[in-house]
Amino acid sequence: MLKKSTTKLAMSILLIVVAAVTLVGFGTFAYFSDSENSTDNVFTAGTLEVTLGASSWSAGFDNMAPGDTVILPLTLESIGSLPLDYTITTEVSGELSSCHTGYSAYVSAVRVDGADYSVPESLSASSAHGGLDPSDNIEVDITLPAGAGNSCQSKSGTLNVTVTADQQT
Amino acid sequence: MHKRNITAGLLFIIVALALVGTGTYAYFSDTASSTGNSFTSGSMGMKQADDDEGPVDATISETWVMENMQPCVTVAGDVSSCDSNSRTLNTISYYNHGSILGDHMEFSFSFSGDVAMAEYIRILHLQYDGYIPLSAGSLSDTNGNGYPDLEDLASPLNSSKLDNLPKVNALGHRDLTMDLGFSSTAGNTMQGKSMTMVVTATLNQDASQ
Repeated sequence: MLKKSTTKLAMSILLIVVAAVTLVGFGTFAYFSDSENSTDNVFTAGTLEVTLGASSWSAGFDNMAPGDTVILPLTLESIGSLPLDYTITTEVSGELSSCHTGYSAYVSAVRVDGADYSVPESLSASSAHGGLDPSDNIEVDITLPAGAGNSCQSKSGTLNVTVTADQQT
Repeated sequence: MHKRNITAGLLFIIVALALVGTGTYAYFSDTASSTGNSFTSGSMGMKQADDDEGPVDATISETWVMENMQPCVTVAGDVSSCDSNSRTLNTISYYNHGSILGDHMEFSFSFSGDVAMAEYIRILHLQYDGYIPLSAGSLSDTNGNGYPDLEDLASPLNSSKLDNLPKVNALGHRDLTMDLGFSSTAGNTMQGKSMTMVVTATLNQDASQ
C-alpha cells in the first residue's frame, strides 16, 4: 500500500514537471499577435550624366596663320535623369600658347547654342532639363593673333575643354 | 408450533433475499447535464491605411516613395533645395478591430535592393501618434554619420525603441508618420541606385512579446 502511494506520488511529480517544462518551453511563443506590412516603399536616386559629341578634334587646328580663328564645335548632351547646371572650362597649352607674349594662341570665344559669352575661359550655363532639350551646341574659338611673329611658326598647341555637370540646387 | 416457526423463518429469509436482490435498483436517481459550454479563442486584428489605401486588414504598398531623387538635405538639416522627388512626408494609420485589444505595438523595418542607400535617407521627422520616446531625435546614430536615417531606424541597436509602443485602442487609430529626405552627403556612388523598404507593424497580446 505504501509502495503504491509512493509510485503515484512520483508519477504526479513527474507529470507536473513535464507540464511545467512544456509551458516554459513554448509559453512565450503561444501568445497571439497580428502583423501588417507596408511594402514597396521605393527610394530611387536619379542620375546626372553628360557626354560631349567629340572627345578629340584636330581639323582646322593645323597650319594656322596669324590672324586665323578656328572653331571647335561640340555637342553636349544630358543623358541622366536629373536636371543639371554645367560649367565649361577651356585651356590652351603647348608651344603655340606661349610662342609670343601677348600674341600667342588663345580661346577668343565660347558660345552655347549661339549665345556668346564675354568671359570665355570659364563660364556657367544652365542646360535644359533631361528629356526636354537634352543637348546644347557648344563652340569654342581659338585665335592666333595677327601680331604673332615668326616665333610662332611651326608650333603646335593643345586645347582641352572640360564640362562639369552639377545637380541644380 | 415448532414447524410453523421454521416455515415463518424461511419465508422471512426469502422475502429478505428478495428485497436485497431488487432493492439496489429501486432507489431514485436523477442526472443533470450542463451542455453548450463552448470555448472560443479571441482574435487580434489590425487594419492599416495610408493616403490612398485602406483601412484594410491586408498589406498596403507605396506609402513612402521617392523616384529620381537628388541629394538635397544638408548636414545641418536644411531642406530648402529639396524637390518633391527628393523628400516625402507620409503616414500609416493603424486600427484595432480584433476582439482582443492586445498589449503593445512593435515596428520593424527591412530593406532590399541597394541597401547602402539607407544611410542617406534621412529621417527629418518620426512620430508614432505623439509618443515621445519614438522620434527622430531619440534614435541612436548607429552609423555615426551625424543624423538619423533609415539605417539607424532598422538597426538592432534601436529595436528597443520600436517595441512596447502604445497599442491601438478599440476606437480610433494611431499613426506612424515619417518625413524622409535624400541627404546631400550621398555621393556619385548613389546615382541610379534604388532601395525598397518594408514596414511591419505587430500588435502583441502580452507584455513579454
